[in-house]
Amino acid sequence: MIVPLPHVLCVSAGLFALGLFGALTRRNAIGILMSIELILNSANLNLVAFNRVWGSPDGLGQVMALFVIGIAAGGAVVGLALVLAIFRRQQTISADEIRLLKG
Amino acid sequence: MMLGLIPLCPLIAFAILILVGRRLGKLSSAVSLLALAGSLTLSLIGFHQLRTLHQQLHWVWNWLPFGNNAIRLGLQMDPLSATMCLVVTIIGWLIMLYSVGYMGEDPRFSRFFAYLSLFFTAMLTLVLADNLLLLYIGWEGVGLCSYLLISFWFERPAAANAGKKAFLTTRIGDLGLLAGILLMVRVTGDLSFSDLPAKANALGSWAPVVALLIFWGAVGKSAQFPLHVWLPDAMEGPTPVSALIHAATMVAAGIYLVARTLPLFLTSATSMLAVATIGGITSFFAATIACTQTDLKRVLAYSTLSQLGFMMMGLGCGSAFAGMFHLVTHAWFKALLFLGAGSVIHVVHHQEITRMGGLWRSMPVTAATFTLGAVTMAGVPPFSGFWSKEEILMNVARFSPANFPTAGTLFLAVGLGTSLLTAFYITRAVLLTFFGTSRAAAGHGHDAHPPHESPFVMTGPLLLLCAGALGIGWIGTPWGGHAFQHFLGVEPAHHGGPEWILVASIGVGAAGILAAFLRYALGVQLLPAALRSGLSGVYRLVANKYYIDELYEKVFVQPVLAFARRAFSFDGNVIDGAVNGAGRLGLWTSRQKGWVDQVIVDGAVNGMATAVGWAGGAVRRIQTGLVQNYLLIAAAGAITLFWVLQWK
Repeated sequence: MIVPLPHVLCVSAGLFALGLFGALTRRNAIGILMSIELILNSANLNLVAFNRVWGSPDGLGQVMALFVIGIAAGGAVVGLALVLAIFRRQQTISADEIRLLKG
Repeated sequence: MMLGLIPLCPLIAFAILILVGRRLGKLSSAVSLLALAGSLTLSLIGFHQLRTLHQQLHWVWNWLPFGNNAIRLGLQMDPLSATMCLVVTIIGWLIMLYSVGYMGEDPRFSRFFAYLSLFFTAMLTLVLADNLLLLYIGWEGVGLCSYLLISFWFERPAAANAGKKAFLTTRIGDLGLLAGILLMVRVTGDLSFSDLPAKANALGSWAPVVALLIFWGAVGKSAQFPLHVWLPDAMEGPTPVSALIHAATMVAAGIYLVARTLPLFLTSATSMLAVATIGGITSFFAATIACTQTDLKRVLAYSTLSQLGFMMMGLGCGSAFAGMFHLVTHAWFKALLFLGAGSVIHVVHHQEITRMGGLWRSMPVTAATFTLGAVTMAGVPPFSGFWSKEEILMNVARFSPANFPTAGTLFLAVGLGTSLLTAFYITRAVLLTFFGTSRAAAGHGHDAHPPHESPFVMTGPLLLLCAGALGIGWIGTPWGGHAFQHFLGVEPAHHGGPEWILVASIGVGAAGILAAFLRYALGVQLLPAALRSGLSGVYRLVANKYYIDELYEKVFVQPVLAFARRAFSFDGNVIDGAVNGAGRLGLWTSRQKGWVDQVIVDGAVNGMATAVGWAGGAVRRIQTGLVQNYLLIAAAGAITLFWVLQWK
């Protein structure tokens, strides 16, 4: 059975909205990172879905998805390292209390 | 080359003394004396060569070569310069030796000997020069040394002023000499002394002008009327200086110059007459002043003026020999008289003959030598002064210029009158200083220790000078074989001179001595009382030196000072005002510019900064530092963008 494309896009859009909502509302920095992963994965879903529908012979969309996963892992590493460094300095990871960049 | 060493020796001494003199201390005098002894020896060698081998030393070098030609400077020793050289070095050496004693206590002992050495360098250059240019260099050099030595005790304002006066007054004369030199080089293109009669011809109608300009220089240097005022004041210097520079050598340079350039004068009766007239006026009028002075050194100073005038008169009458002969004898006896006066002053510490008297008991050597010097100057035969004075009077009597045939008689009268006064004033000085009773206690009581004879280093030169003064005239007498005449290459002049002049000259000399003796030793009033009171006005006039100093003060010094003050106030008010005004204008302009700078330019810059700051303050609100705010804005922006693009 083939799931029609719009369904997949809807799921993807839902994921994106969840991720954005989480990123904007979570106070915990790690939570924000996890929400960003959700957004990235919604994009991955789109890539795989479009690859399946328009049938690129060499599976370019899937390869792109794999790339995104790899880079997301790198991004998570950097993000977690930042969170850790901020925790060491500020004794907190609550995004409300971290305002070092305030002008 | 050897000639070059004659002025060079004292110059080396000067260099040593001026550089390390203070460390040498008393040895300074030895350096100077040794150097001058070197010059003396060399002069004697030159004199010997000239006399026995008839060989003139001459040393020329190119000073400024240009093209095929060159300006040459040279030293030569002809009879005239040899005579001067010997007078300067021998008498100079004795005076220098005397200075060792006289200046012994002075804190600037070595400086004194340095200046003396420099003086000898300049003086020997002057007399050895074979051209007017080098002579002029020496001429100015001796003027400088004269200035330095007159104001040697510059702590005393009188000495400093006297130095200034001497320098400025002689400068007026030097200007004439310089003008004469320039005119001569312009017309003939050559300044050397060789072949002057031919040069006089080449000068043609310029010859009297050049001659009188040169004479004007001699008037300044030899302190002839009307530029004589500096010499009496120059007595503020140390006494050896007065003896050396202002009696024996430097003031004689004017006589030497005229004698040297006499061929230029001989071409015109007018210039001869001018020289003789100035000389005659100076000799007589200075002799009258000398009769009234009470300062021992000033008596001698006016006597020097008078004798220099006498020489000038001899030169003006055409006899270089007569002038030079008197120059030589005068150098000896006047140096002796000055050093004797110095010896007295060294002991009694003042110069007023009215407060001396009876000094012969305590200072026998000084008294004896001074008296013999005075006798020589008074013209008592057979001492030297008599012979040279005689020579001048003989020449004067024969003088008969075309435009004034009776001039000789007139000048003879002046000469005899001067001889009378000379005998009178010098006898007066001797009597008041050394004989009679001491008047020292009357005035001041500070002469605690009685006067005593000066040390041998001072009396020794006195004795030697005394011997010279008495005997030097011998070289010009028939018994001396007219040696001096032959040496200078002139014919002995005693043929044809009227014999009664001899008698008259001895007579006036004796009369002068007798009058002074009666007046100052026996206290006889020479003139009836009525005449005396009538003449008191004349006496005041003479005693005040004819008010010439006051006249110059009024006519030259005051106007110059007034002009200087005017110029100063012009400078202070107008020039300084202009400068200050310009300064103030600049300041004002700067203030305006400063205001523009601070208010407008700075205002613009600051305003910009303030505006930026204000804008920044407004915008900084969005920089909350909360990462989620940024994200929210980014998301909202993306959505808005999306939305906008959707609707397009």
